[in-house]
Amino acid sequence: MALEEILSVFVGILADYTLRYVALGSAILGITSGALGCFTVLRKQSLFGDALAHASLPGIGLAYLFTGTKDSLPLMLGAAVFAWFGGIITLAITNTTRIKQDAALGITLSVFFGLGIVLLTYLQSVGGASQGGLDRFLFGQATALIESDIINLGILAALCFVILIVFYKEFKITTFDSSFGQSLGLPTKYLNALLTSVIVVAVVIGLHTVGVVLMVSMLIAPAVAARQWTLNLKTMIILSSIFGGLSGIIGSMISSMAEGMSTGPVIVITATAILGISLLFSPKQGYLYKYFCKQRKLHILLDKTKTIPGKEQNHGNFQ
Amino acid sequence: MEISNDLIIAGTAMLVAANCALIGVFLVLRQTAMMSDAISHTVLLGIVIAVLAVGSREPIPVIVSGVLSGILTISLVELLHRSGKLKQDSSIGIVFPFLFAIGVILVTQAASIHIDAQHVLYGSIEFAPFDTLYMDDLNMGSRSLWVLGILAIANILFIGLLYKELKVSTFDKSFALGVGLMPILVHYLLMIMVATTAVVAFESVGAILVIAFFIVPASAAYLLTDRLSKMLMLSVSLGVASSVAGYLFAIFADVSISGSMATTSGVIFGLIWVFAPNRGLVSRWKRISRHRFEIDLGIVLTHIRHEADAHRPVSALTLPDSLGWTKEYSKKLSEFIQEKKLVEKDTQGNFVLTDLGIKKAENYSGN
Amino acid sequence: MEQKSGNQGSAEDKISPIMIRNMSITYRTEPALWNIDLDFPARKMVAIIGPNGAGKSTLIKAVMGLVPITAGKVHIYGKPSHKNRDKVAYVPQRGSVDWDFPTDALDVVEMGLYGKLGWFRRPNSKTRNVARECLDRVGLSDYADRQIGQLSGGQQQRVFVARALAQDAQIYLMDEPLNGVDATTEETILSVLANLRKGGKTIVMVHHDLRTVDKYFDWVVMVNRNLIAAGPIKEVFTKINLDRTYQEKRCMSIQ
Repeated sequence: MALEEILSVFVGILADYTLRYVALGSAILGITSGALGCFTVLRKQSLFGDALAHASLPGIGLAYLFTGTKDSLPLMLGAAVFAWFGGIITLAITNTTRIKQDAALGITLSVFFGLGIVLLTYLQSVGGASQGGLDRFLFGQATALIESDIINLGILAALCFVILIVFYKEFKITTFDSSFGQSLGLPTKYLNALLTSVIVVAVVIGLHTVGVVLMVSMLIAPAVAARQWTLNLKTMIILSSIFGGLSGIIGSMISSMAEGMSTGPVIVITATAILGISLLFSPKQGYLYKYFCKQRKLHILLDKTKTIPGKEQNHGNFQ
Repeated sequence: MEISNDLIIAGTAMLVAANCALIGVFLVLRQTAMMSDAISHTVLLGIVIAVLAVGSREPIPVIVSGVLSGILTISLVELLHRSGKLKQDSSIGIVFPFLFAIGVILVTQAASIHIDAQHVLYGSIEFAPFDTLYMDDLNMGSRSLWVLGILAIANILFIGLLYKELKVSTFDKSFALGVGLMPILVHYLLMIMVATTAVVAFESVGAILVIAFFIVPASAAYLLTDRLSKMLMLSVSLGVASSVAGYLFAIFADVSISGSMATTSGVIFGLIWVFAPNRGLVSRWKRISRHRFEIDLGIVLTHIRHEADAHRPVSALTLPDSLGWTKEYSKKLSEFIQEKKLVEKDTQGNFVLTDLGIKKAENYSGN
Repeated sequence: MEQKSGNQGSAEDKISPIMIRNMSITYRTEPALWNIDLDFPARKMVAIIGPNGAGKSTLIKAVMGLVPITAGKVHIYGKPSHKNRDKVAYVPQRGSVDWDFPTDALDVVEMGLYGKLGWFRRPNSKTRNVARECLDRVGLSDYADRQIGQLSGGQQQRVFVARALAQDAQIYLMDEPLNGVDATTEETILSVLANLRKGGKTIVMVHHDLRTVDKYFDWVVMVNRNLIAAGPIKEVFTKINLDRTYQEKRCMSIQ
C-alpha cells in the first residue's frame, strides 16, 4: 500500500508543471555539480568550494539592488562575480601572509556571508517584507523555479559540459600532475582559472535549488560516492553526475511533499545517503567487502603459513 | 537593574566577539578553522534536539546537547578520514552539511521549536534585552549577558589553566606527546570549548556567522604579533572593536547586527592585511622589491667579475642580452653601480670592478 | 669554476642540447642558483650531484620553465627554451602527485602524449598503443590496468619513466628517478636510458648515490648554488671537486 502511495505521488509529480520544473532544476544542478565536484575533490579543494558558495551571497544582493529584478540571470551573474572574487581573496591571503589555507577559507566565507546578510537585510528594510524572496538562495527553494529559470540553468550547465569535454585531458593532467602538465607547455595558470570558473558556474546553478549554505555537499558527496565504485576518472565523472542528478530529483520530490520545506537540506541528505551506501557496499573498496576479505585472509593465513610474499629489495642509497 | 536595551545588545555583541576571539587564536594557530566552522554549524542539530526533548531553550541542556553534536561531528570526520577513503577536507565538507541539513529540516518542520530559519542564519541579537533571567522571581537582568559572562570566565579559566599545554601542543605536537602533555586530550577539550562557545553564540549570531568571530580577529592579530599572549589580547581587542563598530553601522543602516559585525571584522582584517607593519602587503611589497634589487645588484657584480675572468667585456649595453633584463632596468642598475663606485668605465666604456665592487661581488658568490 | 669540454665531435654536436648562460634563480629572497654557465653535451648520460638544497632540482626545473629565472637565459638546441620545450621530456620527483588519483598505469603513460596531441584532440587507439609499448619497455605491460596507487614505489617510478618515453623527446630530464627504488627498477631504468643514449638522446639526471656516479654516467655536473665543476667523469669527478661541492653550504647573505 505504501508503495502505491509513493507511486501515485510520482505520477502526480509528472503531471504537475511546477514539480516538473523542480525536478528538472534539481537534476541539472546535481548533474553539473556532480561532474565538476570530481575535480574539486581530486584537487583537495573541497572546502574551497564551500568558500566560493558562501562568497556568492553578496553578489545576489547587489545584483538585485542594481537591477531590481528577480530574473535569475543577473542574480546568477552577480553571484558568480562574487564567488570568483572570494576565491581570489582566499588565494591572496594564503599567498601573501602566513595565515594558512583553512583560516583564509574561514575568513572569506564568513565575511562575505556576513556582507550578504547585511545586503539582504538592507533590501528587506528598504523594500519591505515583499523583498524577502531572496532568502530562498540560502537554503534553496526549487518550487520558485519558473520556465525561464530552467532554460537559463540548462544553458549554463551545457556550457559547463562543453568546456569540460573540450578541455578534459588538460584538466585531467593539471589535476593529476600539475608540474608535468606545465612541462608539456600547458598554460596551467589559465587552465586552473578556467576550471575554477566552471566550478563557480556549477555553484551558481545550485543557488536556486540547494542554496549557498549547503552547496559544498553537492560538490563533494556525489564525487566521493562515485570514487568508491571506480578507478577511472571518466567513469567517476559520469557516475558522480548520475548520483548528483538522482539526489537532486529524489531530494526535491521529497521536499515538495511537505509544506514550506527548503529543497537544499533534503537534497543534501539524499546525496549523503548515496555516499553512505557507496562507502558500505561498493565492491573492492566498501567497508563490508573489506571486512569479509579480512575474515577470509585470516583463514587462509591460518591454513598455510609457509610462503612469505617477496618484498621488494630497497637499494641502499646514501644521501 | 536598569540598563538600556541598546547597551544590552552592544554588551552581548562585545561578549560574543570577545569569547570567540579568545578561543579563535588557537583555532588559527592549530589550523582547525574549518573544523570549527563545521562544529559551529552542527551545534544547530544538538540545540534543536535539546529543544525538542526539554521543550524550552534552557541553557544547560542546550549546551550539553550542542557539545555532544560537536563531538559527534569531530568523530564522524575522523572516522571517514581514518578509513583512508576521504581526505580530511572532504570529510568535513560531507559531515557538516549533512548534520546541518537535518537540523534545518527539524527547525522548519517541527512546529514546537520556535526557531526560524533566519535565526539559524544570523541569530537574533536584537532580542537579547527581552530575554530576562529570573531567580525566584527576582529580575536578574539580561539572560544573554549572564550566560556570556559565565562563558567568558570559563574560557579564560580554560586558557589560563591549560596555557602551557595549549601552547606546546599547538607549536610542537610530537614534543607535547613526548613530555606527556596529552595533545589529543587538549585538542578535544579545545573543541568542546569551541562547541560550547558556538552554542552560546548561536542565540546572538546564528550558526554560520559565528566562524567570523572565531577566525577573523585572531587572523588579524596573527599578522600583528609573534607572541601568543599578545596575540590573545590583540584578538580580543579587535573582536570587541569590530563588534562595536559593526553594531553602530547596523543601527545606522538598519541592517542585520551580526552580519554587520562580521563585515566590519572583515574590513578591519583587510586594513591590517594591507597596512600591518612588517607583515602587511605594503611593507611586504617594499621589502620584496628592496631584496630583489639587492639580489639583482649581486647578480650584476658577479656577472661582471665572472666575465672579466674570461676576458669578455661587459657594458650597460651587453647586460640586457646576457641577463635577460629589460633595457630600462639594466640601465638603472648600471647607473646605480657607477654611482656607488662599485665599477668604473675603462677607455672603451666597459665596466671594470673597483676594489669595493670586487669585495661586494665576493660577498655574494662566496668564492 | 672549471668546465671542460668533453666532446670535440661532429658538427651536429656543436649546438648544445641545453645551453645555460649567466643563470641565477632566487626563491623569494633566497638565492637558489647563482650565475650558472653550462653547456650540456649531446648523447651523454649526465648526473647532477650536490648536497641537499644545492639547487639540483631547481636547475632542471629552470630548463623546463617550472621556476622563473631571475637573470640569464636557457637555450634548448639554440632556441629560447620555451620554443623548443617539446624536445625535452621531464620526470618529476615521485612525491609530486596524488597516488589516490583514479587512473591506471597505461593512462598515466598516455599522458606523455598529450603534449604532442595538442589542444582539442583526444587520445585514441594509436596513442594507447604507443603508451602500451612504452610500458612494455619498462617491463610493466602486465600492470597496464593497475591503479597507480596499487603499484610499488619502484613500479610507480617506472611508469613515470615510461611516460617520458612516450614523449619521444631528444632530451630527458629526470629528478632523482633512482631515489629509493628497488634493484629491478634501477636496472630497468638504466638499461632503458642506455638504449636511449645509443639512439642519440641526451639524458640528464639528478642523482644522489655518489658510489654509482662513475659506473652509470659519462658526465657529471657538480652544483652547490654555484657551479663547482662540469665535465667528463674522468676529468672532474675528483676528490677535490667533491670536497668543494659537499663542503658546508656556502653562505650567501644579502648585506
